[in-house]
Amino acid sequence: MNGALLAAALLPALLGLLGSRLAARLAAPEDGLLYRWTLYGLGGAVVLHLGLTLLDFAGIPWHPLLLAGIGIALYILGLRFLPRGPERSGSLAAAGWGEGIALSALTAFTLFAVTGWITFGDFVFHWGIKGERFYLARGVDYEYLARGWNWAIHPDYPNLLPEIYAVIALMARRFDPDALMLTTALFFALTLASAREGLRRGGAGRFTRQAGLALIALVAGAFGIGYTTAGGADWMMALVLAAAAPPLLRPPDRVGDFQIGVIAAFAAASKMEGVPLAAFLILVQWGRRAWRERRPGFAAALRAGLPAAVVVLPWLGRVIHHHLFLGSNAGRIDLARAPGTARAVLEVIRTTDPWHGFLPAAFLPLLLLLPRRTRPLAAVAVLLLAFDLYVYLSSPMADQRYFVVSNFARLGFQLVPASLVMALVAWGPPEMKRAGTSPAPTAALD
Amino acid sequence: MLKRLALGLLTAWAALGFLQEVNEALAGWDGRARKVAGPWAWRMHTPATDDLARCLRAARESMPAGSAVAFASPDDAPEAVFRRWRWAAYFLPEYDVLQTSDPSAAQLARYVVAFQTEIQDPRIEPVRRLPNGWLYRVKRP
Repeated sequence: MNGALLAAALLPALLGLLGSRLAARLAAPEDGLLYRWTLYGLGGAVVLHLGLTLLDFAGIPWHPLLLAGIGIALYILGLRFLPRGPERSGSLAAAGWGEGIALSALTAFTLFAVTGWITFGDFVFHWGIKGERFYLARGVDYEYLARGWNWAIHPDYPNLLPEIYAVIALMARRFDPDALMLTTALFFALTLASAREGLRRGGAGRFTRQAGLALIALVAGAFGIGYTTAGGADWMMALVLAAAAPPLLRPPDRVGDFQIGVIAAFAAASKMEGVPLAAFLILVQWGRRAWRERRPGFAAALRAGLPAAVVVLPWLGRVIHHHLFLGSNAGRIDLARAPGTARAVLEVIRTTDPWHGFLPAAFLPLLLLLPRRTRPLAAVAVLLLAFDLYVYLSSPMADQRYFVVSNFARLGFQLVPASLVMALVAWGPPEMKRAGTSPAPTAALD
Repeated sequence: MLKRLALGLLTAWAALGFLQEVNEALAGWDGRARKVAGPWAWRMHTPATDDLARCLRAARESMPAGSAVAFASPDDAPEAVFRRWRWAAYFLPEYDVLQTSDPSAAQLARYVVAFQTEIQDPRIEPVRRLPNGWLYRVKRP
Protein backbone atom coordinates (compact mmCIF):
# COMPACT_ATOMS: atom_id res chain seq x y z
CA MET A 1 0.00 0.00 0.00
CA ASN A 2 1.49 3.37 -0.91
CA GLY A 3 1.89 6.09 1.71
CA ALA A 4 -0.80 8.36 0.31
CA LEU A 5 -3.38 5.56 0.29
CA LEU A 6 -2.37 4.65 3.83
CA ALA A 7 -2.78 8.28 4.92
CA ALA A 8 -6.19 8.45 3.21
CA ALA A 9 -7.25 5.36 5.14
CA LEU A 10 -5.64 6.45 8.40
CA LEU A 11 -7.12 9.94 8.71
CA PRO A 12 -10.78 8.81 8.80
CA ALA A 13 -9.87 6.13 11.35
CA LEU A 14 -8.17 8.74 13.55
CA LEU A 15 -11.10 11.12 13.17
CA GLY A 16 -13.45 8.30 14.16
CA LEU A 17 -11.34 7.61 17.25
CA LEU A 18 -11.36 11.30 18.15
CA GLY A 19 -15.12 11.47 17.61
CA SER A 20 -15.64 8.38 19.75
CA ARG A 21 -14.77 10.54 22.80
CA LEU A 22 -18.14 12.20 22.22
CA ALA A 23 -19.90 8.85 22.50
CA ALA A 24 -21.73 9.66 25.72
CA ARG A 25 -23.47 12.57 23.98
CA LEU A 26 -23.61 11.19 20.48
CA ALA A 27 -24.66 7.55 20.74
CA ALA A 28 -27.93 6.14 21.97
CA PRO A 29 -27.86 2.66 23.56
CA GLU A 30 -29.96 1.31 20.68
CA ASP A 31 -27.67 2.70 17.97
CA GLY A 32 -25.86 0.07 15.95
CA LEU A 33 -22.09 -0.20 15.84
CA LEU A 34 -21.68 1.01 12.25
CA TYR A 35 -23.97 3.97 12.78
CA ARG A 36 -22.13 4.94 15.94
CA TRP A 37 -18.86 4.99 14.04
CA THR A 38 -20.52 7.02 11.32
CA LEU A 39 -21.43 9.64 13.92
CA TYR A 40 -17.97 9.48 15.47
CA GLY A 41 -16.46 10.04 12.02
CA LEU A 42 -18.70 13.05 11.39
CA GLY A 43 -17.90 14.40 14.86
CA GLY A 44 -14.18 13.91 14.30
CA ALA A 45 -14.38 15.67 10.93
CA VAL A 46 -16.14 18.64 12.53
CA VAL A 47 -13.47 18.80 15.26
CA LEU A 48 -10.76 18.69 12.56
CA HIS A 49 -12.45 21.50 10.66
CA LEU A 50 -12.76 23.65 13.78
CA GLY A 51 -9.15 22.95 14.73
CA LEU A 52 -7.88 23.96 11.31
CA THR A 53 -10.09 27.05 11.38
CA LEU A 54 -8.60 28.04 14.75
CA LEU A 55 -5.07 27.59 13.43
CA ASP A 56 -5.96 29.75 10.42
CA PHE A 57 -7.33 32.49 12.66
CA ALA A 58 -4.19 32.33 14.78
CA GLY A 59 -2.01 32.46 11.68
CA ILE A 60 -0.33 29.15 12.55
CA PRO A 61 0.62 27.03 9.53
CA TRP A 62 -0.71 23.48 9.45
CA HIS A 63 2.03 20.98 10.21
CA PRO A 64 1.40 17.25 10.48
CA LEU A 65 3.18 17.00 13.85
CA LEU A 66 1.21 19.93 15.23
CA LEU A 67 -2.05 18.40 14.01
CA ALA A 68 -1.11 15.02 15.47
CA GLY A 69 -0.23 16.69 18.79
CA ILE A 70 -3.54 18.54 18.93
CA GLY A 71 -5.42 15.36 18.03
CA ILE A 72 -3.68 13.34 20.75
CA ALA A 73 -4.22 16.12 23.31
CA LEU A 74 -7.92 16.32 22.49
CA TYR A 75 -8.25 12.55 22.66
CA ILE A 76 -6.57 12.40 26.09
CA LEU A 77 -8.66 15.31 27.37
CA GLY A 78 -11.77 13.53 26.12
CA LEU A 79 -10.67 10.34 27.83
CA ARG A 80 -10.06 12.20 31.08
CA PHE A 81 -13.04 14.52 31.23
CA LEU A 82 -15.83 13.16 29.01
CA PRO A 83 -18.05 10.32 30.21
CA ARG A 84 -17.89 6.95 28.47
CA GLY A 85 -20.51 6.06 25.91
CA PRO A 86 -23.37 3.64 26.55
CA GLU A 87 -22.71 -0.08 26.26
CA ARG A 88 -23.93 -1.62 23.06
CA SER A 89 -25.52 -4.99 22.36
CA GLY A 90 -25.75 -7.17 19.28
CA SER A 91 -23.07 -7.97 16.73
CA LEU A 92 -22.33 -7.74 13.03
CA ALA A 93 -22.54 -11.52 12.76
CA ALA A 94 -26.20 -11.26 11.81
CA ALA A 95 -25.34 -9.54 8.51
CA GLY A 96 -27.26 -10.93 5.57
CA TRP A 97 -27.36 -10.96 1.78
CA GLY A 98 -28.20 -7.27 1.58
CA GLU A 99 -25.01 -6.38 3.40
CA GLY A 100 -23.10 -8.71 1.07
CA ILE A 101 -24.43 -6.97 -2.05
CA ALA A 102 -23.83 -3.54 -0.51
CA LEU A 103 -20.26 -4.49 0.32
CA SER A 104 -19.71 -5.73 -3.24
CA ALA A 105 -21.04 -2.47 -4.70
CA LEU A 106 -18.87 -0.48 -2.31
CA THR A 107 -15.80 -2.54 -3.21
CA ALA A 108 -16.35 -2.06 -6.95
CA PHE A 109 -16.83 1.68 -6.45
CA THR A 110 -13.69 1.91 -4.31
CA LEU A 111 -11.55 0.08 -6.85
CA PHE A 112 -12.69 2.38 -9.66
CA ALA A 113 -12.30 5.43 -7.45
CA VAL A 114 -8.67 4.84 -6.49
CA THR A 115 -7.69 4.37 -10.13
CA GLY A 116 -8.80 7.94 -10.73
CA TRP A 117 -11.03 6.78 -13.58
CA ILE A 118 -14.27 8.00 -12.00
CA THR A 119 -12.84 11.23 -10.61
CA PHE A 120 -15.41 13.99 -10.84
CA GLY A 121 -14.64 17.02 -13.01
CA ASP A 122 -15.29 19.30 -10.03
CA PHE A 123 -12.36 17.68 -8.23
CA VAL A 124 -10.18 19.18 -10.94
CA PHE A 125 -12.10 22.44 -11.17
CA HIS A 126 -12.32 23.25 -7.47
CA TRP A 127 -12.19 20.62 -4.70
CA GLY A 128 -8.83 19.16 -5.70
CA ILE A 129 -7.08 22.36 -6.68
CA LYS A 130 -8.14 23.96 -3.40
CA GLY A 131 -6.94 20.91 -1.49
CA GLU A 132 -3.53 21.03 -3.11
CA ARG A 133 -3.26 24.80 -2.72
CA PHE A 134 -4.11 24.53 0.99
CA TYR A 135 -1.56 21.73 1.30
CA LEU A 136 1.13 23.91 -0.28
CA ALA A 137 0.09 26.99 1.72
CA ARG A 138 -0.27 25.00 4.99
CA GLY A 139 -3.64 26.62 5.52
CA VAL A 140 -6.73 27.94 3.76
CA ASP A 141 -5.23 30.38 1.26
CA TYR A 142 -7.80 33.18 1.34
CA GLU A 143 -5.65 35.51 -0.75
CA TYR A 144 -5.62 32.91 -3.49
CA LEU A 145 -9.36 32.31 -3.19
CA ALA A 146 -10.02 36.05 -3.38
CA ARG A 147 -8.21 36.60 -6.68
CA GLY A 148 -10.62 37.81 -9.32
CA TRP A 149 -10.06 34.98 -11.79
CA ASN A 150 -10.60 32.33 -9.14
CA TRP A 151 -14.38 32.70 -9.29
CA ALA A 152 -14.17 29.39 -11.17
CA ILE A 153 -13.12 27.49 -8.05
CA HIS A 154 -16.14 28.61 -6.00
CA PRO A 155 -14.06 30.55 -3.46
CA ASP A 156 -17.05 31.02 -1.15
CA TYR A 157 -17.72 27.32 -0.56
CA PRO A 158 -17.11 25.84 2.91
CA ASN A 159 -13.75 24.09 3.00
CA LEU A 160 -14.01 20.82 4.90
CA LEU A 161 -13.41 18.60 1.86
CA PRO A 162 -10.28 20.41 0.60
CA GLU A 163 -9.08 20.56 4.19
CA ILE A 164 -9.38 16.79 4.43
CA TYR A 165 -7.45 16.48 1.16
CA ALA A 166 -4.77 18.86 2.42
CA VAL A 167 -4.36 17.03 5.73
CA ILE A 168 -4.06 13.66 3.99
CA ALA A 169 -1.44 15.19 1.69
CA LEU A 170 0.39 16.60 4.72
CA MET A 171 0.39 13.14 6.31
CA ALA A 172 1.61 11.52 3.08
CA ARG A 173 3.96 14.43 2.24
CA ARG A 174 2.54 14.54 -1.26
CA PHE A 175 -0.73 15.27 -2.98
CA ASP A 176 -1.90 12.04 -4.60
CA PRO A 177 -5.33 12.60 -6.21
CA ASP A 178 -6.03 8.93 -6.81
CA ALA A 179 -5.44 8.03 -3.16
CA LEU A 180 -7.71 10.89 -2.06
CA MET A 181 -10.62 9.20 -3.83
CA LEU A 182 -10.65 6.75 -0.94
CA THR A 183 -12.40 9.46 1.07
CA THR A 184 -15.37 9.32 -1.32
CA ALA A 185 -15.51 5.55 -0.88
CA LEU A 186 -15.63 6.19 2.85
CA PHE A 187 -18.53 8.64 2.47
CA PHE A 188 -20.31 5.96 0.45
CA ALA A 189 -19.65 3.39 3.20
CA LEU A 190 -20.95 5.74 5.90
CA THR A 191 -24.03 6.51 3.79
CA LEU A 192 -24.76 2.79 3.59
CA ALA A 193 -24.18 2.36 7.33
CA SER A 194 -26.64 5.21 7.96
CA ALA A 195 -29.20 3.83 5.52
CA ARG A 196 -28.95 0.43 7.19
CA GLU A 197 -29.51 2.02 10.58
CA GLY A 198 -32.38 4.10 9.25
CA LEU A 199 -34.12 1.00 7.95
CA ARG A 200 -33.53 -0.82 11.22
CA ARG A 201 -34.59 2.02 13.49
CA GLY A 202 -37.49 2.77 11.19
CA GLY A 203 -38.83 -0.69 11.96
CA ALA A 204 -38.53 -2.20 8.48
CA GLY A 205 -38.86 -5.98 8.27
CA ARG A 206 -35.82 -8.19 7.68
CA PHE A 207 -36.46 -8.65 3.95
CA THR A 208 -36.96 -4.90 3.52
CA ARG A 209 -33.77 -4.17 5.42
CA GLN A 210 -31.75 -6.54 3.28
CA ALA A 211 -33.31 -5.68 -0.08
CA GLY A 212 -33.45 -1.99 0.80
CA LEU A 213 -29.77 -1.78 1.68
CA ALA A 214 -28.85 -3.66 -1.49
CA LEU A 215 -31.11 -1.38 -3.54
CA ILE A 216 -29.60 1.81 -2.11
CA ALA A 217 -26.04 0.52 -2.55
CA LEU A 218 -26.65 -0.53 -6.15
CA VAL A 219 -28.46 2.66 -7.13
CA ALA A 220 -25.86 4.94 -5.50
CA GLY A 221 -22.99 2.80 -6.75
CA ALA A 222 -24.26 2.79 -10.35
CA PHE A 223 -24.68 6.56 -10.33
CA GLY A 224 -21.38 7.07 -8.51
CA ILE A 225 -19.46 5.07 -11.09
CA GLY A 226 -21.35 6.01 -14.24
CA TYR A 227 -21.60 9.74 -13.54
CA THR A 228 -17.96 9.91 -12.31
CA THR A 229 -18.60 11.35 -8.87
CA ALA A 230 -15.47 10.47 -6.88
CA GLY A 231 -13.74 13.40 -5.25
CA GLY A 232 -16.79 15.68 -5.07
CA ALA A 233 -18.82 16.79 -2.07
CA ASP A 234 -22.23 15.51 -3.19
CA TRP A 235 -21.53 12.27 -1.35
CA MET A 236 -21.18 14.29 1.85
CA MET A 237 -24.64 15.76 1.35
CA ALA A 238 -26.10 12.31 0.65
CA LEU A 239 -24.38 11.08 3.81
CA VAL A 240 -25.83 13.96 5.86
CA LEU A 241 -29.41 13.20 4.86
CA ALA A 242 -28.98 9.44 5.36
CA ALA A 243 -27.28 9.97 8.73
CA ALA A 244 -30.15 12.20 9.83
CA ALA A 245 -32.65 9.40 9.22
CA PRO A 246 -32.25 7.53 12.55
CA PRO A 247 -32.69 10.56 14.85
CA LEU A 248 -35.49 11.99 12.72
CA LEU A 249 -37.37 8.69 12.41
CA ARG A 250 -37.69 8.38 16.18
CA PRO A 251 -39.25 10.80 18.66
CA PRO A 252 -36.95 13.70 19.55
CA ASP A 253 -34.64 13.11 22.48
CA ARG A 254 -31.49 14.49 24.04
CA VAL A 255 -29.12 12.23 22.08
CA GLY A 256 -31.05 13.03 18.90
CA ASP A 257 -30.41 16.74 19.50
CA PHE A 258 -26.67 16.11 19.66
CA GLN A 259 -26.76 13.83 16.65
CA ILE A 260 -28.61 16.41 14.58
CA GLY A 261 -26.21 19.07 15.87
CA VAL A 262 -23.12 17.20 14.70
CA ILE A 263 -24.68 16.11 11.41
CA ALA A 264 -25.77 19.69 10.71
CA ALA A 265 -22.29 21.02 11.53
CA PHE A 266 -20.77 18.50 9.12
CA ALA A 267 -23.25 19.60 6.43
CA ALA A 268 -22.46 23.26 6.95
CA ALA A 269 -18.71 22.62 6.69
CA SER A 270 -19.03 20.55 3.53
CA LYS A 271 -20.77 22.44 0.75
CA MET A 272 -22.66 25.62 0.01
CA GLU A 273 -26.08 23.96 0.05
CA GLY A 274 -24.95 22.23 3.24
CA VAL A 275 -25.43 25.52 5.06
CA PRO A 276 -29.19 25.75 4.40
CA LEU A 277 -29.41 21.96 4.86
CA ALA A 278 -27.91 22.40 8.33
CA ALA A 279 -30.46 25.11 9.07
CA PHE A 280 -33.33 22.87 7.90
CA LEU A 281 -32.14 19.96 10.06
CA ILE A 282 -31.88 22.18 13.12
CA LEU A 283 -35.20 23.93 12.52
CA VAL A 284 -37.03 20.63 12.09
CA GLN A 285 -35.48 19.24 15.27
CA TRP A 286 -36.37 22.43 17.15
CA GLY A 287 -39.89 22.25 15.73
CA ARG A 288 -40.31 18.67 16.88
CA ARG A 289 -39.07 19.56 20.34
CA ALA A 290 -41.38 22.54 20.60
CA TRP A 291 -44.36 20.54 19.31
CA ARG A 292 -43.75 17.70 21.72
CA GLU A 293 -42.94 19.68 24.83
CA ARG A 294 -45.22 22.66 24.12
CA ARG A 295 -42.52 25.06 25.29
CA PRO A 296 -39.22 26.30 23.92
CA GLY A 297 -36.29 24.33 25.33
CA PHE A 298 -33.13 26.43 25.43
CA ALA A 299 -30.78 23.52 26.23
CA ALA A 300 -32.20 21.38 23.45
CA ALA A 301 -31.94 24.28 21.02
CA LEU A 302 -28.32 24.75 21.98
CA ARG A 303 -27.50 21.05 21.58
CA ALA A 304 -28.89 20.96 18.07
CA GLY A 305 -27.86 24.41 16.92
CA LEU A 306 -24.55 25.29 18.52
CA PRO A 307 -22.19 22.98 16.56
CA ALA A 308 -23.43 24.30 13.20
CA ALA A 309 -23.28 27.90 14.46
CA VAL A 310 -19.65 27.39 15.49
CA VAL A 311 -18.91 26.14 11.97
CA VAL A 312 -20.95 28.71 10.03
CA LEU A 313 -19.94 31.93 11.81
CA PRO A 314 -16.17 31.78 11.12
CA TRP A 315 -16.86 30.71 7.52
CA LEU A 316 -19.28 33.58 7.06
CA GLY A 317 -16.84 36.03 8.62
CA ARG A 318 -14.04 34.95 6.30
CA VAL A 319 -16.23 34.98 3.22
CA ILE A 320 -17.48 38.49 3.97
CA HIS A 321 -14.03 39.77 4.97
CA HIS A 322 -12.39 38.52 1.78
CA HIS A 323 -15.37 39.37 -0.46
CA LEU A 324 -15.66 35.79 -1.65
CA PHE A 325 -19.40 35.61 -2.35
CA LEU A 326 -20.12 35.25 -6.05
CA GLY A 327 -22.76 37.41 -7.63
CA SER A 328 -23.89 34.43 -9.68
CA ASN A 329 -24.97 32.51 -6.56
CA ALA A 330 -28.38 34.08 -6.38
CA GLY A 331 -30.38 37.09 -7.38
CA ARG A 332 -34.07 37.90 -7.38
CA ILE A 333 -36.52 35.07 -7.99
CA ASP A 334 -37.73 35.17 -11.55
CA LEU A 335 -40.76 32.94 -12.10
CA ALA A 336 -40.28 33.25 -15.84
CA ARG A 337 -37.42 30.77 -15.38
CA ALA A 338 -39.78 28.12 -13.97
CA PRO A 339 -40.94 26.50 -17.23
CA GLY A 340 -37.38 26.24 -18.54
CA THR A 341 -36.24 24.78 -15.21
CA ALA A 342 -39.04 22.19 -15.25
CA ARG A 343 -38.19 21.20 -18.83
CA ALA A 344 -34.50 20.86 -17.96
CA VAL A 345 -35.25 18.77 -14.85
CA LEU A 346 -37.41 16.44 -16.95
CA GLU A 347 -34.61 16.25 -19.51
CA VAL A 348 -32.16 15.22 -16.78
CA ILE A 349 -34.58 12.57 -15.49
CA ARG A 350 -35.08 11.24 -19.01
CA THR A 351 -31.50 11.27 -20.23
CA THR A 352 -29.12 10.64 -17.31
CA ASP A 353 -28.34 7.00 -18.02
CA PRO A 354 -26.39 6.20 -14.83
CA TRP A 355 -29.58 6.74 -12.85
CA HIS A 356 -31.36 3.84 -14.58
CA GLY A 357 -34.69 5.47 -13.82
CA PHE A 358 -34.17 6.02 -10.09
CA LEU A 359 -33.71 9.81 -10.08
CA PRO A 360 -37.46 10.51 -9.54
CA ALA A 361 -36.94 8.99 -6.08
CA ALA A 362 -35.49 12.40 -5.17
CA PHE A 363 -39.06 13.73 -5.29
CA LEU A 364 -40.50 11.01 -3.01
CA PRO A 365 -40.13 13.26 0.08
CA LEU A 366 -43.08 15.29 -1.24
CA LEU A 367 -45.26 12.20 -0.71
CA LEU A 368 -43.40 11.14 2.40
CA LEU A 369 -44.66 14.25 4.17
CA LEU A 370 -47.93 12.35 4.58
CA PRO A 371 -46.89 9.46 6.84
CA ARG A 372 -46.32 10.80 10.33
CA ARG A 373 -43.19 8.75 10.92
CA THR A 374 -41.27 10.03 7.90
CA ARG A 375 -42.59 13.59 8.05
CA PRO A 376 -39.60 15.24 9.85
CA LEU A 377 -36.92 13.87 7.50
CA ALA A 378 -39.18 14.38 4.49
CA ALA A 379 -39.64 18.00 5.56
CA VAL A 380 -35.86 18.49 5.59
CA ALA A 381 -35.57 16.89 2.14
CA VAL A 382 -38.43 18.95 0.72
CA LEU A 383 -36.87 22.13 2.09
CA LEU A 384 -33.59 21.20 0.38
CA LEU A 385 -35.48 20.60 -2.87
CA ALA A 386 -37.13 23.99 -2.42
CA PHE A 387 -33.72 25.57 -1.89
CA ASP A 388 -32.46 23.97 -5.12
CA LEU A 389 -35.50 25.38 -6.89
CA TYR A 390 -34.84 28.81 -5.37
CA VAL A 391 -31.30 28.72 -6.76
CA TYR A 392 -32.56 27.70 -10.19
CA LEU A 393 -35.13 30.50 -10.21
CA SER A 394 -32.84 33.17 -8.85
CA SER A 395 -29.34 32.59 -10.25
CA PRO A 396 -28.69 35.01 -13.07
CA MET A 397 -27.43 32.40 -15.55
CA ALA A 398 -27.51 33.14 -19.26
CA ASP A 399 -28.25 29.53 -20.23
CA GLN A 400 -30.86 28.22 -17.81
CA ARG A 401 -31.10 24.81 -19.47
CA TYR A 402 -27.35 24.24 -19.26
CA PHE A 403 -27.29 25.38 -15.63
CA VAL A 404 -29.91 22.84 -14.58
CA VAL A 405 -28.68 20.01 -16.81
CA SER A 406 -25.14 20.42 -15.53
CA ASN A 407 -26.03 19.77 -11.90
CA PHE A 408 -29.51 18.42 -11.21
CA ALA A 409 -28.48 14.78 -11.58
CA ARG A 410 -26.01 15.39 -8.72
CA LEU A 411 -28.33 17.46 -6.58
CA GLY A 412 -30.92 14.73 -6.90
CA PHE A 413 -28.31 12.23 -5.81
CA GLN A 414 -28.00 14.02 -2.48
CA LEU A 415 -31.63 13.12 -1.77
CA VAL A 416 -32.03 9.64 -3.21
CA PRO A 417 -30.47 7.38 -0.51
CA ALA A 418 -32.44 9.04 2.33
CA SER A 419 -35.60 9.14 0.19
CA LEU A 420 -35.36 5.41 -0.43
CA VAL A 421 -34.85 4.75 3.28
CA MET A 422 -37.96 6.78 4.11
CA ALA A 423 -40.01 5.16 1.35
CA LEU A 424 -39.05 1.66 2.49
CA VAL A 425 -39.84 2.49 6.11
CA ALA A 426 -43.21 3.98 5.19
CA TRP A 427 -44.37 1.68 2.44
CA GLY A 428 -42.04 -1.32 2.49
CA PRO A 429 -43.34 -4.87 2.88
CA PRO A 430 -44.23 -5.77 6.47
CA GLU A 431 -42.26 -8.31 8.49
CA MET A 432 -43.34 -11.88 7.63
CA LYS A 433 -44.46 -13.46 10.90
CA ARG A 434 -44.37 -17.19 11.52
CA ALA A 435 -47.22 -18.61 13.60
CA GLY A 436 -46.37 -18.52 17.27
CA THR A 437 -43.26 -16.37 16.93
CA SER A 438 -42.68 -12.73 17.46
CA PRO A 439 -40.62 -10.62 15.05
CA ALA A 440 -36.88 -11.00 15.45
CA PRO A 441 -35.44 -8.28 17.67
CA THR A 442 -33.90 -5.70 15.38
CA ALA A 443 -31.07 -5.04 17.81
CA ALA A 444 -29.60 -8.37 16.75
CA LEU A 445 -28.87 -6.83 13.39
CA ASP A 446 -27.07 -3.78 14.56
CA MET B 1 -46.30 -10.54 -0.89
CA LEU B 2 -46.81 -8.09 -3.74
CA LYS B 3 -44.67 -5.48 -1.98
CA ARG B 4 -41.86 -7.98 -1.48
CA LEU B 5 -42.03 -8.91 -5.15
CA ALA B 6 -41.95 -5.25 -6.18
CA LEU B 7 -38.98 -4.52 -3.92
CA GLY B 8 -37.19 -7.61 -5.20
CA LEU B 9 -37.77 -6.56 -8.82
CA LEU B 10 -36.57 -3.03 -8.10
CA THR B 11 -33.41 -4.40 -6.51
CA ALA B 12 -32.85 -6.73 -9.47
CA TRP B 13 -33.29 -3.77 -11.86
CA ALA B 14 -30.80 -1.75 -9.82
CA ALA B 15 -28.36 -4.68 -9.94
CA LEU B 16 -28.60 -4.80 -13.74
CA GLY B 17 -27.97 -1.06 -13.91
CA PHE B 18 -25.03 -1.36 -11.57
CA LEU B 19 -23.48 -4.16 -13.62
CA GLN B 20 -23.94 -2.11 -16.79
CA GLU B 21 -22.10 0.84 -15.23
CA VAL B 22 -19.31 -1.43 -13.98
CA ASN B 23 -19.01 -2.97 -17.44
CA GLU B 24 -18.85 0.43 -19.15
CA ALA B 25 -16.34 1.76 -16.64
CA LEU B 26 -14.13 -1.30 -17.12
CA ALA B 27 -14.29 -0.96 -20.90
CA GLY B 28 -13.46 2.75 -20.59
CA TRP B 29 -10.55 2.07 -18.26
CA ASP B 30 -9.16 -0.63 -20.56
CA GLY B 31 -9.47 1.67 -23.58
CA ARG B 32 -8.25 4.84 -21.89
CA ALA B 33 -5.04 4.95 -23.95
CA ARG B 34 -7.15 5.24 -27.10
CA LYS B 35 -9.70 7.61 -25.62
CA VAL B 36 -10.22 10.75 -27.66
CA ALA B 37 -12.59 13.22 -26.04
CA GLY B 38 -13.21 16.95 -26.01
CA PRO B 39 -12.03 18.86 -22.92
CA TRP B 40 -15.55 18.77 -21.46
CA ALA B 41 -15.16 14.97 -21.14
CA TRP B 42 -11.51 14.75 -20.14
CA ARG B 43 -10.61 12.27 -17.44
CA MET B 44 -7.52 11.53 -15.40
CA HIS B 45 -4.93 9.23 -16.97
CA THR B 46 -6.03 9.73 -20.57
CA PRO B 47 -3.71 10.86 -23.39
CA ALA B 48 -5.21 14.36 -23.49
CA THR B 49 -4.71 15.12 -19.80
CA ASP B 50 -1.34 13.34 -19.74
CA ASP B 51 -0.20 15.56 -22.64
CA LEU B 52 -1.25 18.69 -20.80
CA ALA B 53 0.38 17.50 -17.57
CA ARG B 54 3.64 16.77 -19.43
CA CYS B 55 3.59 20.20 -21.06
CA LEU B 56 3.04 21.97 -17.73
CA ARG B 57 5.59 19.85 -15.89
CA ALA B 58 8.20 21.03 -18.36
CA ALA B 59 7.03 24.65 -18.08
CA ARG B 60 7.28 24.50 -14.30
CA GLU B 61 11.05 23.93 -14.57
CA SER B 62 11.46 27.43 -16.03
CA MET B 63 8.96 29.39 -13.94
CA PRO B 64 9.45 30.35 -10.27
CA ALA B 65 6.65 29.08 -8.04
CA GLY B 66 4.07 31.74 -7.27
CA SER B 67 4.36 33.41 -10.67
CA ALA B 68 1.29 34.57 -12.51
CA VAL B 69 0.95 32.56 -15.72
CA ALA B 70 -1.35 33.19 -18.64
CA PHE B 71 -2.56 30.00 -20.29
CA ALA B 72 -3.49 29.75 -23.95
CA SER B 73 -4.88 26.82 -25.90
CA PRO B 74 -6.41 26.36 -29.36
CA ASP B 75 -9.10 28.95 -29.96
CA ASP B 76 -12.11 26.71 -30.48
CA ALA B 77 -15.36 26.52 -28.52
CA PRO B 78 -15.29 28.80 -25.43
CA GLU B 79 -16.31 25.87 -23.23
CA ALA B 80 -13.31 23.85 -24.46
CA VAL B 81 -10.93 26.76 -23.87
CA PHE B 82 -12.38 27.26 -20.40
CA ARG B 83 -12.01 23.59 -19.47
CA ARG B 84 -8.40 23.38 -20.68
CA TRP B 85 -7.65 26.45 -18.57
CA ARG B 86 -9.15 24.81 -15.48
CA TRP B 87 -7.17 21.63 -16.04
CA ALA B 88 -4.01 23.74 -16.44
CA ALA B 89 -4.76 25.54 -13.16
CA TYR B 90 -5.25 22.15 -11.49
CA PHE B 91 -1.88 20.94 -12.73
CA LEU B 92 -0.20 24.17 -11.56
CA PRO B 93 -1.58 24.75 -8.06
CA GLU B 94 1.47 26.69 -6.92
CA TYR B 95 0.95 29.32 -9.65
CA ASP B 96 -1.72 31.88 -10.42
CA VAL B 97 -3.06 30.66 -13.74
CA LEU B 98 -5.11 33.14 -15.77
CA GLN B 99 -6.73 32.89 -19.16
CA THR B 100 -4.98 34.98 -21.80
CA SER B 101 -8.33 36.67 -22.39
CA ASP B 102 -8.51 37.81 -18.75
CA PRO B 103 -7.88 41.58 -18.56
CA SER B 104 -5.71 41.01 -15.45
CA ALA B 105 -3.33 38.81 -17.43
CA ALA B 106 -1.85 41.78 -19.31
CA GLN B 107 -0.78 43.41 -16.03
CA LEU B 108 0.05 40.39 -13.88
CA ALA B 109 1.29 37.52 -16.01
CA ARG B 110 5.05 37.03 -16.17
CA TYR B 111 4.83 33.92 -18.34
CA VAL B 112 2.56 32.55 -21.01
CA VAL B 113 2.10 28.82 -21.56
CA ALA B 114 0.66 27.98 -24.96
CA PHE B 115 -0.67 24.41 -25.14
CA GLN B 116 -1.07 22.89 -28.61
CA THR B 117 -0.73 26.35 -30.12
CA GLU B 118 1.82 29.06 -30.83
CA ILE B 119 1.53 32.76 -30.12
CA GLN B 120 2.98 35.58 -32.19
CA ASP B 121 2.89 38.70 -30.07
CA PRO B 122 5.53 41.43 -29.74
CA ARG B 123 4.86 41.69 -25.99
CA ILE B 124 6.21 38.17 -25.33
CA GLU B 125 9.38 36.26 -26.15
CA PRO B 126 9.82 32.49 -26.35
CA VAL B 127 11.67 30.83 -23.46
CA ARG B 128 11.57 27.22 -24.59
CA ARG B 129 9.65 24.67 -26.54
CA LEU B 130 7.52 22.38 -24.37
CA PRO B 131 6.01 18.99 -25.11
CA ASN B 132 2.86 20.02 -27.02
CA GLY B 133 3.41 23.70 -26.53
CA TRP B 134 5.55 26.75 -25.89
CA LEU B 135 6.62 28.74 -22.88
CA TYR B 136 6.96 32.52 -23.31
CA ARG B 137 8.17 35.29 -21.03
CA VAL B 138 6.26 38.55 -20.92
CA LYS B 139 8.51 41.50 -21.80
CA ARG B 140 8.42 44.18 -19.16
CA PRO B 141 9.72 47.68 -19.80
